[in-house]
Parts: sequence; structure tokens; C-alpha cells
Amino acid sequence: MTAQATPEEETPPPINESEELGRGVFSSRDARAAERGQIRATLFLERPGVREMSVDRLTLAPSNEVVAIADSVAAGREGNRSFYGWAIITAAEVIGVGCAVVASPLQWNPYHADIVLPESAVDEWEQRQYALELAARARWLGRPE
Amino acid sequence: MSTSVETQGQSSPPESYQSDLADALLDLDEVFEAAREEGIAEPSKLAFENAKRLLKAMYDLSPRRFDVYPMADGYIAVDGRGGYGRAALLTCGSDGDAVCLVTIDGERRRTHYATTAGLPDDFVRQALRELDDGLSA
Repeated sequence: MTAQATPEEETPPPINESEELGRGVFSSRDARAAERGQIRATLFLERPGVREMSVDRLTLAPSNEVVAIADSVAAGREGNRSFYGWAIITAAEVIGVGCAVVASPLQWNPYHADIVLPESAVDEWEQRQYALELAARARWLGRPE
Repeated sequence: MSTSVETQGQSSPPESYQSDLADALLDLDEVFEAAREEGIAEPSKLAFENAKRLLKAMYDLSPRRFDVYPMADGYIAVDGRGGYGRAALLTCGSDGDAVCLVTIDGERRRTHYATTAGLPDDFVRQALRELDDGLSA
């Protein structure tokens, strides 16, 4: 007999194309630009050569829980960061630009997923091109009250 | 009703447009501080001067609220949007180089320039026209 999985160990449901994915915004400048409708391409960039970028599965996550997770991410960053909200995009939109989305739950964030750039996106400018394409489709969702 | 301001027989852009340029120039003034806050390389003075000239030139061609921000490796981004799925990003490098990235409804284009002397060129002008098309559609 196998041990029953605890809720934390349960496999998250597969990504649904209608799911909204949020890329956390931790810069007041980025947040101000997003509030006026301009999601910056830099919000969809990781370090050069890294093809996976973290997102939160907002459709799946209870609001208070995912905000608490984002706050803890902000607290762990250098420079006394705050969490302002998310640049959101649907899984279908991500797939539409040629990227993939995979659920990648973490112990401290069961709603974690990764947007994965195609293998061809090894060049930093190719990564920036994808970042611009994702940003041009993304919307702003401010931190819930 | 026209919103243009008539001055000595010449029309100037609407006030909000002028404000858009002023706001973008304020963004540009903040790129050094923003780069420090993000922990990325600060742009050079040359990148700053090139971005300033090209921001004004692009604004003259296609008035809009360009967003201006630092990117990694000392690049300054001048970012124009034309509605959903339409963007043109001109980045000015610290060595005087530039890269223009365009995405229009899923079509991607990119051009690298060793210097900004010939900019804005036909590639940039075409991208700005396509952003305008997206907003007027």
C-alpha cells in the first residue's frame, strides 16, 4: 500500500489553455508603465541563456494565497522590493507565440509554472524578441486589495 | 473638432501629444537610476544621447506615448505600442550600436545597427506606420 499524498504533494492539474498566468511585478516603475497599458518587455525576460520564466497560475490560485506568495518573493529580493501586481497572459496566448507552458509546482508555491521559450531562443536578442511578443499581448492586473 | 493649437498660422500637435513626449523624456532621464535599482549595467552617455535623439525623431514620425527604460547590458529601450500584439522596440547600446525589434500580429522582424547615424531608417519608419495602422483599425 502506498502512502496517500498530502495536499502539498498532489500533482497540480495540467495547464488549461484558458488559464491566466501572472508574471509578478516588483518595480514601481514597471507597475506605473503597466497601469497606463504598457507592459515592458523586460518583465518577460530572465537571465541570458535561461529559457524558463516563472509565472503564477492565477486562475488556479486563491487570491490571498498567491498574494502572500508574491509578498514573500518580494521580501526575498534585494533592495526592499514590494509586490505591485502581475503582467497576465493566457496559456493559449503563450502557446500562440511559439512558447510552451509547464506546471512546475514548488514546495512554497504550488501554483508555480514556467513559460518555456523554444530551444532556438538561445541568442539573447531572440529571447528579447519573444519577450516583446509576450509583453505586447499581456495585460495588467494590479495587486488585489 | 480639431484639437490642434494654431500658432501664427502653423498647427502644432495637440497638447496631450506634447505631454507624451515630455513624459517619455522624463522616463529617459530616470534610466540611470532605474538601472542601478534593477542591478543592471548603467547605459553610457552615448546610449542616452542616441536614445534622446531617436525618441524625438520617432515621436515626430508617429506621436504616441513611447515608454523608455533600461535593459540589460546597458541598452536603453524606446518602446512603442500599436494595440494588441503590435510593438516596436528600438534599443540603443552603450557602444553606439542599436537593435530594432518589431512584432506585428505574430510576425517578427529584427535589425542590428553598428551605429545610429542612419536612424530612423525605412525599417523603423515602416514599423511605426504599422503601429499606427493597429490603432486606426
